[in-house]
Amino acid sequence: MKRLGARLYRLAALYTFVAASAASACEGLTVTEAWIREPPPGASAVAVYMTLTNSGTAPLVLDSLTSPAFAHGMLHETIQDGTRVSMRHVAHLSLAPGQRVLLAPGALHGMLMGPQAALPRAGEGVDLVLGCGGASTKVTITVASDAP
Amino acid sequence: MTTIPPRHRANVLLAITAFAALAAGLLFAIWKTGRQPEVPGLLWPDPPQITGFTLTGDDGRPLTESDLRNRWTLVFFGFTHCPDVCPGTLAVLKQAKQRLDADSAFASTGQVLFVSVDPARDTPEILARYVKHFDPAFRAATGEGDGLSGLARQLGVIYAKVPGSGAGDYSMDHTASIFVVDPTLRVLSVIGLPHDAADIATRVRAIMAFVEDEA
Repeated sequence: MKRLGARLYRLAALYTFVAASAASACEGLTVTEAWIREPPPGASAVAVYMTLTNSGTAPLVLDSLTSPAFAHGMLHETIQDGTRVSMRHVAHLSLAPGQRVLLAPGALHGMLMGPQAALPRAGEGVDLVLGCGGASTKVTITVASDAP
Repeated sequence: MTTIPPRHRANVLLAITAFAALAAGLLFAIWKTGRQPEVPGLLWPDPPQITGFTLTGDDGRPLTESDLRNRWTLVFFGFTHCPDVCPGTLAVLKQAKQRLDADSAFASTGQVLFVSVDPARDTPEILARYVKHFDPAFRAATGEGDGLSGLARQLGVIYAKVPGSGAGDYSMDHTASIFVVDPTLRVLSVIGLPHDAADIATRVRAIMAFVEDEA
């Protein structure tokens, strides 16, 4: 069962990659291993995790992360200071050619706030728009019941 | 080679026996009082002790230190508007509890308690729906003023309201450690980030075994 889950996840991750490549308006940006943890009832904000790669030859600056399913979205970072955690808005994310950046739990991540309809459930997809200097790349991210 | 006269042999034997007994006793005393068990992060031999506190539970009723007595409790502070760390750690706690339930007394004596540091937004109803998404047995509580700060102070938990980007919007900075509290309200371990289910289960299992052995 777990193996099937992993396979489905890899398939979903591959699909995300293909989707990102097909709609690649942010020159060189590829999105892989993207997932969203199924939000608990009443959650007002949802974190988005993925690997961003600049496969192009020019530097890339990601300056927005939004979703039509949520009122607001942003790049966000969890910062740990001793045992205390805080969060801050990240306005820009620069990726040099060939650079890979991980958006992961407890670190840099995307944050979507203000669900416009019912919160997505495990297995459903959430559309995400990554903006870079006026251009944008659209991807669909699969909601997972737990971390892959 | 020196030989011991027969009349002294008994005395020498007695001295050796007495010394051996003394050494064994001393070693046992050192082992008993000074041993640091192989439990990473165990707060021993002087763990902090939780005294009185009163919060409001997810059923709307008071939740006090008596709800922790005679149970093993994993306590985690957070808030439901938290997108990353709180749902992540609650998901890990769900897995850790499954592991512990499978092979330890945690199944009958353990509980997970989520304490919200955001009582203005996290009502008992909201908290109940939130934590039970992860595990129907999870409990949650929060409190205004002294209720919350009373427990937080005892555990060394800090929290602070931080203005957000929109009007009236805010986030909460907070301590994101998991506190392992034993049935006599001793805080035996504080598990910091990053949280891992297997690691938590291993540590809690070892702590439970240690306390059982001490009793």
